[in-house]
Amino acid sequence: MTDLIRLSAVSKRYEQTGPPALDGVDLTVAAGEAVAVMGPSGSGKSTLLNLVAGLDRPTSGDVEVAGTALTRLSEKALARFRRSGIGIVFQFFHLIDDLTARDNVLVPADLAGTGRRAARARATELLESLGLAGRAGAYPAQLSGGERQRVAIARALINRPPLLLADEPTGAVDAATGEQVAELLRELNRNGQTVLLVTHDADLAKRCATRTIEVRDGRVSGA
Amino acid sequence: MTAVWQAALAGARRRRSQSLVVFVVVLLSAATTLLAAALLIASDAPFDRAFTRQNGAHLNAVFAPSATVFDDPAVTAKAGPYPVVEATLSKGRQQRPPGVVAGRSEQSPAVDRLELTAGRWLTGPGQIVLSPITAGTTWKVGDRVTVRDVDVEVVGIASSVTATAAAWVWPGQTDVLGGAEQQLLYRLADPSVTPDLPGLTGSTRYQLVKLQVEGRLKPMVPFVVAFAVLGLVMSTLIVVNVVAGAVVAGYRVIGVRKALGFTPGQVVAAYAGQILLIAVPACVLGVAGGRLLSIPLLAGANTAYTVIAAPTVPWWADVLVLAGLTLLTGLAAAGPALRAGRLSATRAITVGRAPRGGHGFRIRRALAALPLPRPITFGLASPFTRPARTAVTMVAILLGVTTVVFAAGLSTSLTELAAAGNRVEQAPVLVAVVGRPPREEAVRALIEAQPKTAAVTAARETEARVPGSGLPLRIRAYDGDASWTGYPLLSGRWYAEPGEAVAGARLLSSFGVRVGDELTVDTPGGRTTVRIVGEAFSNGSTAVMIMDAAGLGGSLVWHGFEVSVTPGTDPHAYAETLNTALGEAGHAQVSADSQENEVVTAMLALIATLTLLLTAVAGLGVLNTVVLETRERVHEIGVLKTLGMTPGQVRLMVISSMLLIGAVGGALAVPLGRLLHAWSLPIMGEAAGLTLPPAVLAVYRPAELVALGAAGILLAAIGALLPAGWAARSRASTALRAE
Ligand SMILES: Nc1ncnc2c1ncn2[C@@H]1O[C@H](COP(=O)(O)OP(=O)(O)OP(=O)(O)O)[C@@H](O)[C@H]1O
Ligand SMILES: [Mg+2]
Repeated sequence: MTDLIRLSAVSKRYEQTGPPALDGVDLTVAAGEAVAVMGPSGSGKSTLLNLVAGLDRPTSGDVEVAGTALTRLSEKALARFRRSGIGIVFQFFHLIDDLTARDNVLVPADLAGTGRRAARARATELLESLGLAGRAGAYPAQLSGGERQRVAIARALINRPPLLLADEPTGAVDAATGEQVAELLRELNRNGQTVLLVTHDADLAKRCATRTIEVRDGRVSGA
Repeated sequence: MTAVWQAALAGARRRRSQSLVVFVVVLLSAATTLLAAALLIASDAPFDRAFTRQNGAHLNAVFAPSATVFDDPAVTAKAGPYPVVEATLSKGRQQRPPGVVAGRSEQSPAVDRLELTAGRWLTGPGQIVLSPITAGTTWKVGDRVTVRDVDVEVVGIASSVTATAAAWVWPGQTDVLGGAEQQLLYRLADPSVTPDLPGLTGSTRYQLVKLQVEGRLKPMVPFVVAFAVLGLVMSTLIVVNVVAGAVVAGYRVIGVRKALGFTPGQVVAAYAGQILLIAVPACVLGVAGGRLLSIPLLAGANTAYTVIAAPTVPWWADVLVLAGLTLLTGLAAAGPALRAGRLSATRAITVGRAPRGGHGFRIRRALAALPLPRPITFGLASPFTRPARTAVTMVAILLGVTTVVFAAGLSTSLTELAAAGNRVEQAPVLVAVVGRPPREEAVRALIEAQPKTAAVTAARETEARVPGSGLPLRIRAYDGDASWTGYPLLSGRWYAEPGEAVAGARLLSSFGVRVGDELTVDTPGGRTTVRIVGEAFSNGSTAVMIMDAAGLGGSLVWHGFEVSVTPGTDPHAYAETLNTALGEAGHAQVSADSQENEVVTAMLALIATLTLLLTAVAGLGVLNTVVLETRERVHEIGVLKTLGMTPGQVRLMVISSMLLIGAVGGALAVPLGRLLHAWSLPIMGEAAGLTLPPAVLAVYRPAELVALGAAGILLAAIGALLPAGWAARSRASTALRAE
């Protein structure tokens, strides 16, 4: 098995003073794993995820994803990396208000320059498999929380990224929808999708993850 | 009510960039509005107002040196006698046309209270106070000037509404005032009746001065008023647009507030309060700034009007602007807030967040099919998905570019108007004849002897009346065919023989005659009938007729020589050579430097200032709307960045989203500005009693129009560039946290 994520001695400081958000983190995730990151609020989980996604840069240390050293990439190259290297799902969905569900799903394919026809076929397939076939033309404001999160997952998957990142994907939906999302993630992982999942929810971690790590005060303690 | 107050405060604080936008726009608009109001006030009957303020002289009488001065029950007040001489003032090589120098120690006697515009009043000999016209733009307080070979220091500049003198010296300055006549300035019980004055050598009735001043003034006033009105309307519209835009942008928050239990009334109060919290201090600062700016601007207007129209902005203008703009911004905020207040909480949230119709969807589809890079189609589509926000931006650009197009046209028209009226190209040199009695023929011989003289004609004038009509008219007469003097012909032809005349628009309309008609006039030399063969443009507002001097007899009053020079001759050099040859007999002046042209120059400077201000307000309106719009999209941009949009693509997207709005706004604004110009100019012309020559009306060239239209795109692009940069540089993770 190859390592998909490799973090070595990664620290992140937002402010000059005070404790760092992440403090000397070493972490490797192999392809095909589903790793749950747990820990109390403010411990640095989202920070860790953002670094892996190339949305932010570490203060020191190296982040390597799918053989690419992110710390050495320009902003432009990082953006390119995000297009096809990863898919991200957020707690608050972060859909684009002006776009329909289908068009939201299509955005990463558009940015990656995927052929229009192929991309549409893939989007339709994804929406169908997520039970959203009838809601493709709706705007985010017209969707329920669970529907929005499923659109976000479809969007994260459209470019078939080797790595799926999820930050509290069930944090803003009800229990039943949370169930659905958990099931979906487990299904994806079973089919070979590598997943890095940030959550508070021990139950969710237990159900979806092949491994759980704990972040506390910016330090990782493996499990 | 504390919840409402807190909401207002929090809103103003949280949306800091938006608050800044409203602040700056309201501030600039308040300043512009105050300036516009100041100009309107200054343009309202400036002569009459100055005449009242200064207790101007109804009659300016000059008596022989030893005559007993006239006193009569018809006189209600008088000033003088003051010793007066006719003299030429010079500073180095600069020489002014001959004028009256009066010996006078009082600045504010009962009649003709002089208003100082610079420096101070006389305190003793060795000093001189100049009239603004004598001072012009080049002679300043502290300069030394020569009058009758005596060297004196300029200590002040003072204005007399009826121009009782070109300069004043201390009465004890006998070396200047040697051989003086006596000047008396009278207020009369009935100014229309001129008393019979024994021992009089010359007199000027204020009616004539008023006619001359207003003749120069009237054509200008409608233009200035148009600019002032434009300033008022545009800044008002821009404020309304920006404020309403700010409230529309806050719809989602309004929805949240309603969900928290705000009543519609409280929503309106919170929003109007939030805007007023910013607008009131902005208004106060703007009015203060406008007051500061009005000092040079009013000075310009005063020079342009040749009388001191308004010394300062009256205090009630401040109050009016403050109250008006505050009310306006309050209403502009309350309107959309009321609409939002009436919506159900969830509807307000939805309206704020999602497009309503399916247009955006279809247009986005259509655009996506275009073979363009994705960020560009994203950018181009975004205006359609948010019609309300797009409308706000579009209106800002439309207003901005329309203002610029209209203002540019207006100022070109005025330049053309001035050029058409003053004939500085065709008759570049004017020669006055000095001395008593004037040696006209000697001066003419000297002018004709100059090798670079191309043509010379005497210009003479007389007053005339049409039998049965009370309206006076002015006849300007030249030697033979003087068509080279360059009056723009609007219709018909130039006169070809004595008995034919070319008329100005005011004459035609006043007496109801047309080109081809005959008109009988009574001149001091007798009754004569002339045929009007053409209409010429003249920028004065009195009825005027131009014709051959032959046949009008001895009733004509000497006016001066008009001279044209051979091609390639510098008029200044020519005038200087001629002045050396003329000596004491006369004085040559370049007509472009004449007082009348200084008036035009001052007017153009005034309009340039206003154009600049208006353009700044309009540009800021656009810039701020665009910045705001992009700021509103920071979250969306953050999302796109997490999905793999590069900084370059972000820039491209933001700019292309504005380009479309800018292009459409610019394309609409150009014809709109033109239309406004085409519609309003004849109205201004009519107000001034002028038929405008084509050169004044057709001022837009296609290339200019394209450039002006492109200005809209440019404004939008520049406005977008700034926030596009922030957006491109910002970390996606930060942008997402902002939600
Ligand atoms: N952009 C930022 N600027 C400043 N401080 C930040 C920023 N992002 C995170 N922090 C700080 O870093 C620390 C870790 O934040 P992070 O968001 O990673 O926590 P978390 O574990 O995801 O918490 P939660 O479970 O509540 O989401 C916190 O103290 C947070 O306040
Ligand atoms: Mg978090």
